[in-house]
Amino acid sequence: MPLPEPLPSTRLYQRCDAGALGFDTTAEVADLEEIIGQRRAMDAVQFGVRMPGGGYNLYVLGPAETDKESVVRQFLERESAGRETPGDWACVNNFADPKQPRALGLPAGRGAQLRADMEHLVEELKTSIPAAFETDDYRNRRAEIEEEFNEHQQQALREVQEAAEKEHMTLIQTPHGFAIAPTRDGQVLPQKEFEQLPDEEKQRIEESIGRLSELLRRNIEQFPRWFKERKEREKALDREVTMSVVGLLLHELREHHADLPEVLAYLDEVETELVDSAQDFMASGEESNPVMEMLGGGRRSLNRFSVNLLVDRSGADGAPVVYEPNPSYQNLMGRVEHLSQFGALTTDFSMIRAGALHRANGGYLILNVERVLTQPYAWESLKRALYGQEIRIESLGQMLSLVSTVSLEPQPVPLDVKVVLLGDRRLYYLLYALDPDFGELFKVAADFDDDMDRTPEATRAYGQLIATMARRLELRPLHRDAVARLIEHSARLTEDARKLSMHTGTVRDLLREADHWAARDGRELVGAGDVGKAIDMRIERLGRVRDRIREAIRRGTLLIDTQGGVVAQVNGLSVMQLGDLAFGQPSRITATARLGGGEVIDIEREAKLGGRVHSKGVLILSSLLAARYARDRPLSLSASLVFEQSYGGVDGDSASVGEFCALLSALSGLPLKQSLAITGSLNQHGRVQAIGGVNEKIEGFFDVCVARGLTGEQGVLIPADNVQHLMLRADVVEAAGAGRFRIYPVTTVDEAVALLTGVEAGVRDAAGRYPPDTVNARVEQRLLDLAEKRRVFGDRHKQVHAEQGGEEA
Amino acid sequence: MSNTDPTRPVLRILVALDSLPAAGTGLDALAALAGEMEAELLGLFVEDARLLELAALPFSREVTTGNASHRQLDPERLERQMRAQARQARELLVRSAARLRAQHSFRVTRGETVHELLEASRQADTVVVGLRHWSAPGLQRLVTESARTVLLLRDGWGPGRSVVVLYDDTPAARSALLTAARVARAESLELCVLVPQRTGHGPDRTEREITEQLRGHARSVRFRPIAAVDAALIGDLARAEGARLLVLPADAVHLDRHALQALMDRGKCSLAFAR
Repeated sequence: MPLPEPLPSTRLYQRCDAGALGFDTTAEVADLEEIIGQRRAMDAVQFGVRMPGGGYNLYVLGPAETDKESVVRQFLERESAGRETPGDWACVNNFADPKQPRALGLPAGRGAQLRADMEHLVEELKTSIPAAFETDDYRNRRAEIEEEFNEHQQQALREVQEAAEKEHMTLIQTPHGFAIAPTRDGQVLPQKEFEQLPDEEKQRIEESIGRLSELLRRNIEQFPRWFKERKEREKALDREVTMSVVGLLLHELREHHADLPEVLAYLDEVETELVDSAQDFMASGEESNPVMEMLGGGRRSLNRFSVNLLVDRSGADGAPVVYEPNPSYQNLMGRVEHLSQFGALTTDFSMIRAGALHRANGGYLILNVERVLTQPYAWESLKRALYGQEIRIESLGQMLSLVSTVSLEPQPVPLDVKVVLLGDRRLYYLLYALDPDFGELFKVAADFDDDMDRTPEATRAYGQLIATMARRLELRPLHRDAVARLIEHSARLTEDARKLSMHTGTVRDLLREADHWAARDGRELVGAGDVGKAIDMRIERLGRVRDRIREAIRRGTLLIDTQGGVVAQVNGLSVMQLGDLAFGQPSRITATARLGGGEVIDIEREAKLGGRVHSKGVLILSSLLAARYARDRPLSLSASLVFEQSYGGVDGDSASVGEFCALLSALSGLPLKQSLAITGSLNQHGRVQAIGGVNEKIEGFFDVCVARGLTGEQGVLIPADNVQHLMLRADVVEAAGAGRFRIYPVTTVDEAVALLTGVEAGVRDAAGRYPPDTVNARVEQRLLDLAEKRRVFGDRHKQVHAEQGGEEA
Repeated sequence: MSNTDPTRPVLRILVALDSLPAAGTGLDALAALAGEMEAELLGLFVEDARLLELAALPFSREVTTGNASHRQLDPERLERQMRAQARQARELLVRSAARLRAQHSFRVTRGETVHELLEASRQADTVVVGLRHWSAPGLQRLVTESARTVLLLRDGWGPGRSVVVLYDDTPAARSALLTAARVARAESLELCVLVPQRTGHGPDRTEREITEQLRGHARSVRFRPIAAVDAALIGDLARAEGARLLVLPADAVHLDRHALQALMDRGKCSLAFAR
């Protein structure tokens, strides 16, 4: 069986041909208008946006790094430009019931006009109404009414006075009314004189006073009626005067808004209110007191004639695209603010504030689903608004029926909006599974890809994308080599030489950082070196833990051999992901084998440090071992596998080939080359399968070998299927090109074990036997020996048992 | 409004505070005028002795204006009410005078109202009473017996665009003319002079005489001849002229109760009787 050759350096890194990009610097490149690499997602977005009817809201899935927010936003902004601009929304006072303010829908820009008109009206009335009430005409008419009332009163009192005088009496005013007093010579009769009068005279006076008092009472009884009539006439006069001013000004307003029946209806209500509000305009310099107003006293605020413009689309063109970064309940649905005055909280329609739904009404609302879900009641209220197709502003207290105090209940605003949720895939599937409303309301899923195929066309488009990003970020232009370096790194990010990363957010950050390094060095163009520096520095910034591990290996604290041969010990490779940095590190895997009942013990699992995928890998290799070497006899060994000096848990099956090789070494007694490391997962037929993080793993072992000095013997065995993913660091590629480090692609476990032992693995002949001295033959023989020992041990056990008179169960 | 030297500005205005409207609008107007003329307001509250005497009678009762019901007059309660009224009147005076920067003083007396006012008026140049709260006999007595100019004030002066004054050949004519001119000037009102037609005097001569007397006291003046000095006619003319104040020389008309009533009912403005 021929063994795999080390990979040539050309297969270790798929370079991007800068010359094929078609430009020297990105300054020459036009902006990329289309969205690349997300055809499926963008088709879905387009469908969702254009699909009429409720429920066709969107959930955009994919990692945040795909920059899906800006991509979707960009698309929606283009889409919205062609759509009709929705109207303004204003909140106005409901004069009949101020607790239920009215919502007014107006064409775009007309809300501001109405607001200005109403402000102007109030300002005009502040001068016109007092002026109207200052005219001689008004004062004379008012005085006439008062005079008439006074005359009535005077006449009534005069009648009493005249009647009193006829009976030698007089009318006297008391602090709270009037009284009849007997007189003599025009003076009130003193008590002493009265006492001296004959009884008949006293009697006459008393009767006279009684009679006159009754007349007085009857006449005074008319006073309230006259007073009421007076007040009514004064009120009617005030209304007439106010109306003469208001009517003229409102006529102009009605002409401005003649095409809007709702506004005309509102103006009718304003007119009715204004006619009875003249007094409020009389001292308009004074501030009204909301508390006094609340208690039913004081001058009422002229603010009640204002227009609270919730949504102003003056100058807007097309449908709105709103992104709400903090989708709390109130930020979504709007809120009613309160003013604290003298310890009391007051509010009115002018303190109603629009939410994101108001602003996005008639267009698109983009929300981060995780933030919506973590804000109390935001998700529930959003669903209710979408179901009900209206925005209802309620305080949380009202919504939860926690408070019963009187508050505002603004008229709901009809809702027509496409909601675009941005989130990760996990949340999408969770919501779909757990929330029955979700599927009803968010019928369109737009799944953003993490990567795209690295075709020549896609590479050129990617270059254009980088150029566009740099320009929009106002960065220095990039030399084509820098772009090529970025494209190569993009492939590395995908862990696939044939793909390009759609994590444009990451690429954008890298662009900024490369620009920073170019700026520091005073370059006008960002070069490949700047990009490389940005990549290296990013790794360096996060590399503390990696360096500590490497140091531990270098100093022998973590035991890793890079030369010589050791039985039942192999260098496995693992990847650690710490934040934004993934790096590989070698791990020593050892195996033991002895006579037993066929079990392979995964010490990691037993110690609860192994993940389920790792356990699966061990079970597979156990099965492979039995199937390969003990098809017709019991597998009579007890083996154990362990990641030495591993204390933090192990998962994944990428060590299963290495573990199997260690086990074969333990059984065959053949030492494994410590100059090699191995990664790859195994299936039950001995086929080596692809694993993740291949680049980091190779580089991890390479760094350890470099630290100890490259011997030319060192290298890594990787699954052949992973060769397509190789985008190795330049120093690794260079060492491989110089023959100082080798990367072997292996397809089967036999290739792997042969490379690791330097002994042929061996293939069964026609008789089903492995050639002598091959690895497989040695393993099989060892297992045969173990099986035989087990049989002998079993027979002796039975014999002893029989001699002791026992009975075989 | 002085009877000694008509060109001398008014110095002291006696105000009967028991008769001014509680709202104080009349007081405000008066205080404003006093402020303009640099006069002092002498507030006087008279506790009506007649009332106290009446309350002492066994069957005395009042009819309240609030609900037109009979109520026994109780001397003690009456005293309390009067004290409260006096306190309120004082507060009103202080507030108005302070706001309108008029000098002021205040005192309370007890007695027959007209008598007390007449007594107090010896220290003043002008006496002011609220027209609405006084009966015609009381007003008539005050006007006829006072040695000072008497002003019968409607609430807040009342409306109107002019001050109308009768200029005849009685001794107080000049005083009436100058009083009217000062008020017209202070309140920015037109001044209209009613000139009775007299034998031996051509209208031009009388008007020249008036113009000469008003020099430096009035910006403009309008003349209106009248055929006779009659209360009803004067009242009608004052109303026709939109008078806010009608000023008459105190002896110009025989001021019986009917004449006064006619002036009040027809003129519908404040009245001043100059001396």
